[in-house]
Amino acid sequence: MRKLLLGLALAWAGLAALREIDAAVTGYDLREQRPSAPFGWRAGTPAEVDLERFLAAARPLLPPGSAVAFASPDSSGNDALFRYRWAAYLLPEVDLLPTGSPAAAAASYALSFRMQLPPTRFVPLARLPGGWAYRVRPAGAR
Amino acid sequence: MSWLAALALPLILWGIGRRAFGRALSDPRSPLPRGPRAALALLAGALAFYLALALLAWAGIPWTRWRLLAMLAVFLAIPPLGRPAAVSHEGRPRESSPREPPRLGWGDVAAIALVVAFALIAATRWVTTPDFVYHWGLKAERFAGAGAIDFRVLARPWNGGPGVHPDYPNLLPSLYAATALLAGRFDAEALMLWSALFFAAVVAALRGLLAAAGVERWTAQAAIATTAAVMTTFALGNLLAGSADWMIALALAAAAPALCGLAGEAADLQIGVAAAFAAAAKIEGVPLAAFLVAAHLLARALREGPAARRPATLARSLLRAGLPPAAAIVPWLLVTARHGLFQASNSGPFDWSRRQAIWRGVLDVAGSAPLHGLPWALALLPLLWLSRRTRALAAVVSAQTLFYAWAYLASTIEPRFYVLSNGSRLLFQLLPAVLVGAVLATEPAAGAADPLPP
Repeated sequence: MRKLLLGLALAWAGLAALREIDAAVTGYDLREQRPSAPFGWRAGTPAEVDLERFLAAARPLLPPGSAVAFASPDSSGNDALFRYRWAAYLLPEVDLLPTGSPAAAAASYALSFRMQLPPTRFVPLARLPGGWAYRVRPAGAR
Repeated sequence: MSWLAALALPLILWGIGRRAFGRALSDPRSPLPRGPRAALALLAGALAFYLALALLAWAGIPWTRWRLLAMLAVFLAIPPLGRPAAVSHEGRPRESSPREPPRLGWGDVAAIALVVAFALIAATRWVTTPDFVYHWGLKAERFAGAGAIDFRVLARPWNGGPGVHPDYPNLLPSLYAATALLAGRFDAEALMLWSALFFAAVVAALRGLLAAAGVERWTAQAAIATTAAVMTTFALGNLLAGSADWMIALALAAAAPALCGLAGEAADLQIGVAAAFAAAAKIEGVPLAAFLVAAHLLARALREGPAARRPATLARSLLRAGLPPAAAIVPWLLVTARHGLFQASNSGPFDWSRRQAIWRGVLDVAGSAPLHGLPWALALLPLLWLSRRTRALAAVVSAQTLFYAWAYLASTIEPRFYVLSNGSRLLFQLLPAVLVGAVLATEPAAGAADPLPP
């Protein structure tokens, strides 16, 4: 009886493992069709690759260790927050700060992904694939 | 180079653990099979390396590739700690042979295939945990860049908030950072190999436990294949590559032989090393460390009779089992408190009215499609209480489960979301030990070989 139960458990778990292996491999093969909400991003999905390309283009413009504000559209829920989290991971050479945080007000540079920032405060440095890099005018400067 | 570093560093740490601590972690009269010994050696080597890294960071000496290599060389030169077997127990049998598992069987081959499949899929980063992006990997990048555990970065307000955990212990990001420094670059694909190695170590430890307990071959093979399949399902369905949850599962698996009374005189130190590893891996590893030490001391006192209950004997056991976790926990507590890293979201007022939402979350996790109903395997836990051999293991897993329930009840985070966000990962930490424990508890010979008095 014990062996029978263990055999059934093995069959159940084995089938579950095979199905998850199949799901993972299929998901990886179809990664380019995966929806793009940042909460569900995985490495290699198109939206993540776009952000990675944007940040790779920005990297040479930003001195290592500099404070850089990061902005992206908050289309739904916490999209901007999760996009920021990914950006901080993909660009560890700088101190990436979420726009809206008190620290971001003192940033010397800014990156905007899939949006533009107002020219009154942000001087464009370069147009990049997917967004812009800016130098930030100090508050109060003209 | 990244792959070489990700393979070589764990092997070197295992070598350090085996050479320096192997003797102290093994009782010649009651030696464990190779699997649990290898797992314990990896844990001890990783812990020694981590404490040395933390010491360098504290002393303001930046980690560099050459400094790390020099440190590993020094560790490898440390003479073995502990008394040599030949003179340790005069007048008693000097050394027995461990009950090694017989040659590889079908269950072992299935488990190896699952570990390899997981490693290959993990290397694509497709099943990498989001937490690797939000904090484990991010911290490792920053530590590698700074050549230290960079508490200034962790203390910045924008590095706090849900999901980032600046207050977590830093063993895993330090291992990742050291791998990156040795490789010369941060390569997330190669770092996923650590998870596969932890997976293999869990399987090896539990395989050895089954053999040491004398479990009949077919049953042992089925148990190890089932455990590996359950772990694979959780790891792929729930995206666990790169996470620290493997380390909690590994700590529990490495402690299991000692908890089951199979480790002899070395049990205290084995528990100490496993507890320290858990505490250095994740914040929930800290209570697990306390439960491991407490359950072990209690079980030992009950198992070995009045002699083991003498205050001096208990104090010696407590020292051997308690010092390693204290070495991991106390510095972490002090530094984390000093930098103000503890997060307010870690706990809140105990609120019993949250129970219904928590239960709905638990049911959702148990019924989630990628887990195929396997979370219900935790229902096997009461079986572990039925056998004296597995009762200490049951006590540890039960206490940890109750701690998780308390954490859900005493929190400010929306309860159902809280359970959905981490419930399956917490289950994953406990299930391998529960599955193998259930097999041990129902082993027909378990009563006869039971080391505890009736």
